[in-house]
Amino acid sequence: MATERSYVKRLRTLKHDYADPLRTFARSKDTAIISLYDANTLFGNIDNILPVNEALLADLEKMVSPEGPRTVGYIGDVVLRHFKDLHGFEQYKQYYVKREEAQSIFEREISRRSSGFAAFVDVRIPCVLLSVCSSACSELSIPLRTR
Amino acid sequence: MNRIGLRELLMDPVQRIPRYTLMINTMIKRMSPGDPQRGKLVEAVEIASKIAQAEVDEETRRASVMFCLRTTIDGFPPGLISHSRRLVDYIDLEDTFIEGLPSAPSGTGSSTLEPLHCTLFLFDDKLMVVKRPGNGEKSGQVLAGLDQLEKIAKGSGVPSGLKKSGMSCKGVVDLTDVVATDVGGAGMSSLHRETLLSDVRKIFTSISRNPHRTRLIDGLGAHSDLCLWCFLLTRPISTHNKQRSTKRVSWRTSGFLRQTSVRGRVNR
Repeated sequence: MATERSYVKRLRTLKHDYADPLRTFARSKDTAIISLYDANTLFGNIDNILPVNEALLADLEKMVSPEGPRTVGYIGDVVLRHFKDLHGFEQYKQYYVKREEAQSIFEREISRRSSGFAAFVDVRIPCVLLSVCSSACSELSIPLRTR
Repeated sequence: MNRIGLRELLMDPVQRIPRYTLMINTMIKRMSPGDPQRGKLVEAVEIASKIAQAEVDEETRRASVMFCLRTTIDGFPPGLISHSRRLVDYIDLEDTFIEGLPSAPSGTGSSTLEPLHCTLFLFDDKLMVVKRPGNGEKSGQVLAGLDQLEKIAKGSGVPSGLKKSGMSCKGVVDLTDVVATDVGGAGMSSLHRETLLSDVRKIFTSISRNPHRTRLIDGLGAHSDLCLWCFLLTRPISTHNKQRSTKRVSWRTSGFLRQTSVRGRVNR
């Protein structure tokens, strides 16, 4: 359960700190750090995966509470329900589909010296600051991304 | 501030399912054989292993699809085979002329007005137009052996006994060169038309490698050369193989497919 909790936390970081801002910026040419196609491929169906693991975590937490056995049952019940009845983990198959391409996009973007992507990933400019920057750039018509 | 690298975070979901199988197997070992929970964990771990297996299968499947196409289609451009290119979907259609459209040739013999039986293969960056033999009795799926591929997807991979099917490649168009145009048609309300066009735009943005360069022209314009939308719109764009209905729908394409081969926009 501890590993599930930390995993869900990491998934949330991936979605909220990386996927959401990069995809939002990619919608407009002026603010795009990477293209929308690249952003969508890179993060795949992360939005669908997160709720699957959040649901599993919620049930695991219920399970260890005093009410657990009555509400969600024991470990076998919980695990089997999530893998079999809810079909949630099927979402992972879709995530696998484009990993190879996602990998090459990642390597390509990170190695481009002029790219805002490397700066975004390595320096981890807080999202708030980045969104200020990008809207400022947008007003001044300075592209964040230089080709 | 949380400083986990993006590279690691992106790999997390890939490693997650194998980790579940490990963890569940450890639990199973520690349980007494009579534990009622044990059987449930065994069932769950089987499902988890199958999901983890999908990662390997996808690459094999993609390579097999290309192999099928190359083997069965005459004039299949070898340059189309690439590890990163993915077949998104395909559909059989019939190319007929709609009277009064700019794409219809004038003063040609009636023989050229016979419907042309085609299959469109949509990749994530290209669209391949393939002519089917005869009167289009057999579907492109069967001719290319893709139906077999779906049946035996888990396992040996490439179907055996494939041969030239009589299909021939008429050309490959870059998706960025595709102009999806509303060619009108009786009985379609303008609201309906608007919805269709905006759906096409969404689909293109999600499948194309260069969505910004994809031109979509609304209304009845001089560019009315491709009613690709009727093809795209009716097809759910799925990133991996869902159960595919075996019934293929035929769509009319107003002479576009015939024209691509004379216009020099193909085989670049």
